[in-house]
Amino acid sequence: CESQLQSRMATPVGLSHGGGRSIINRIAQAISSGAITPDLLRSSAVAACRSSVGSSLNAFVSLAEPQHQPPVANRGHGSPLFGLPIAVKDNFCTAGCDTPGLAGSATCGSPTLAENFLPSYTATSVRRLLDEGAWLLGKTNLDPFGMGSGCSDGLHGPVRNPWRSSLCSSSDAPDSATNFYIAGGSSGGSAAAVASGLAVGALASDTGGSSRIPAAFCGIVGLKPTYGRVSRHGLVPLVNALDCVSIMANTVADACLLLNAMQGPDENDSTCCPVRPEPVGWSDKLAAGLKIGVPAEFSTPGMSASVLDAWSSAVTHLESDLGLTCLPVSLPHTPLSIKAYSVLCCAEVASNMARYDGIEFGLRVRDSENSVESLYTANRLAGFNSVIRSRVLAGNYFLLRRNYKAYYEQARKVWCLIKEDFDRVFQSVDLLVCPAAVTAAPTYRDFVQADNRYRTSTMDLCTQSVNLAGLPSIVLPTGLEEGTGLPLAVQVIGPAMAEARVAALAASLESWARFPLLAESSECSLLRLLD
Amino acid sequence: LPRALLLLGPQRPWQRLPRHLCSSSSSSCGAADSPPAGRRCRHRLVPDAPTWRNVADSELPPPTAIDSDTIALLERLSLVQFDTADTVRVVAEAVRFADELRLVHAGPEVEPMTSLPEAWGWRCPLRADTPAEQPRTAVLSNAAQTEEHYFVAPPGNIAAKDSGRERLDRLAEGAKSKASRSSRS
Repeated sequence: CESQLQSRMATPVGLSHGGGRSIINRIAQAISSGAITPDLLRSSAVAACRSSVGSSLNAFVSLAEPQHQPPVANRGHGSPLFGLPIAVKDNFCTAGCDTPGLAGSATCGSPTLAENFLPSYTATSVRRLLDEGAWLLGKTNLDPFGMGSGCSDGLHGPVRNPWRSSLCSSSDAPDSATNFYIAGGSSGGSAAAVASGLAVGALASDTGGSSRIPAAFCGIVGLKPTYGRVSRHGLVPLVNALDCVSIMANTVADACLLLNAMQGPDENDSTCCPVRPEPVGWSDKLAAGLKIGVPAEFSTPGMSASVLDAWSSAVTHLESDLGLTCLPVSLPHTPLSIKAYSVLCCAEVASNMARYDGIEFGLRVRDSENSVESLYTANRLAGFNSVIRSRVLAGNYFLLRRNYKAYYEQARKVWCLIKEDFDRVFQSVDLLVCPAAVTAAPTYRDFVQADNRYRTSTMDLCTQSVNLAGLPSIVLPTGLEEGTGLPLAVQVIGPAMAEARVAALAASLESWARFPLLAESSECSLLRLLD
Repeated sequence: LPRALLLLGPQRPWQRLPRHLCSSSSSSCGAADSPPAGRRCRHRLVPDAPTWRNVADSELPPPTAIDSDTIALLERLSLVQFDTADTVRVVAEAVRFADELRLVHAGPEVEPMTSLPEAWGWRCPLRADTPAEQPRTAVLSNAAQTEEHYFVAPPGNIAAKDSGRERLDRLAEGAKSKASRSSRS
């Protein structure tokens, strides 16, 4: 377990104005002034996660034991991430030798990898954060292998949205076994951890919206970088062509601090960007003449009035208050995108799940050893829930010789058309502003009335086309829904590798929205330490 | 204009934005999802109603039935069992959902995408084809069963014991009746 001690963040990031809005910087200042120590931060973080209120969220699959040792002196010292507890979704490989106090794991929320699988290496993205001095607080709950929009189907049970739960002192929602709001999926655990302040930053993955939907539901920032901007080495693949390491934090500045620590080429990921991108930073003043596109097709079936209102308020602010040019744009193939995505996703899932046979690693059942076929079938029946199995079977259906052209090749053609729609639109505008989730968070009771396939086909309408085009996107909370008091969010999308431009607009919207972050008031938040 | 010809019915095409009719604060918008009475109307660029066209079932090709033969084939290829009629239903619905793709007449000039890095012209280097040393114990460490530094697997030249036509037929029938029940409701 060699570690590179050279800090990737030696160049100061131009986020000084974001200092006031950056929770990570506030904690970093408290550490460097001696007001709190990294040890205190760690033990408080773990205690908060283990408290009855913290653990009721079911955000974590595994938690670290705080180590009462001084951190390695020159490892990340001076970096804003020094001493910071971060949470990582449990589909990232983390090796025990790299993560003091936490056993290695990557259960992926499934019985298949919950036993007989200790990763022998740590994902590059996680390694880079650890090299900056961050500390792995725990692995977060997820839908199995990242398949789902609700974070309800995993081995470890559903994740509760901290909003309208017992975490909110003003909540009147009875906290029963089924009467809670979902955190969204598949990165629900990471979202709940960050929203409640248990963690100040978390890693997630986003293939069709899996970091942006939970960010929208939980009232936090979700940043999906350009495809390939962050190495996927060590991220258990769902759809290799679309998976993105994504970031969840409470503010845009914090998300960018984490991105800057991780982004860049990796010899272990051949699909990673070939050139190291500039650290993301921005000035207070938005670029002159910035043109904002409002894509009509993002008014989708099932979109609630409150989501439309939030979208409208944001566009009105940009146009009337900031004087930005806002133009109608069209992405005409948008309604086909979710269908193409469903085929591409199932086909790659069928391929990626083929490795789980129980021979070299993972779940292996007893008494099925008559033949390879019977053993593999039995292992996979025990390890895969019906969601995974139905995607594998559907994927292989689309890949059958008789169906290949009509479904799979056709989906790949539509993928080309989706990407071209975005390419064309970005010739006339600089950024798009649109919704992220189609509604505010539903209750668990309502959510489970329909199956996983139906849910992902109706909830991911505004997110998965961005994955097909490989574009960077930031989702941020802008208000609360009337009546329910649940977070509402907007999404900012930019051209490939334009993270700085996306972040600048998102940060501007964030200042305007003054969203009441739950992490500022939650009783289990790490921010309490700074009081 | 989109490069592929899309079958557009008598309804208006997606590209045209719905005209936002009211400019006052009253709720006489007429649009399906207008803001509540007394509230200002939304920004003119935000469509009040979904801009997606409903595709009628009659426009799509006839729905595929997942019959017993298909179930048997998919189970053999995937080494994954359907297990219940409900899973057959879900797969059939997934196929039906994708059927709309078949309405798109994308000609040969539309290249099927393979990957984004390729489209962006990234090099995607391959590792040199030289062996990387790994300790044998590490490689074997996660296996549930090993024997003298080997992985252990049962014999491979035996077809899975066929649980019979009966099970496959039951799954196919069960899914069909679920589908017809839901279409009647």
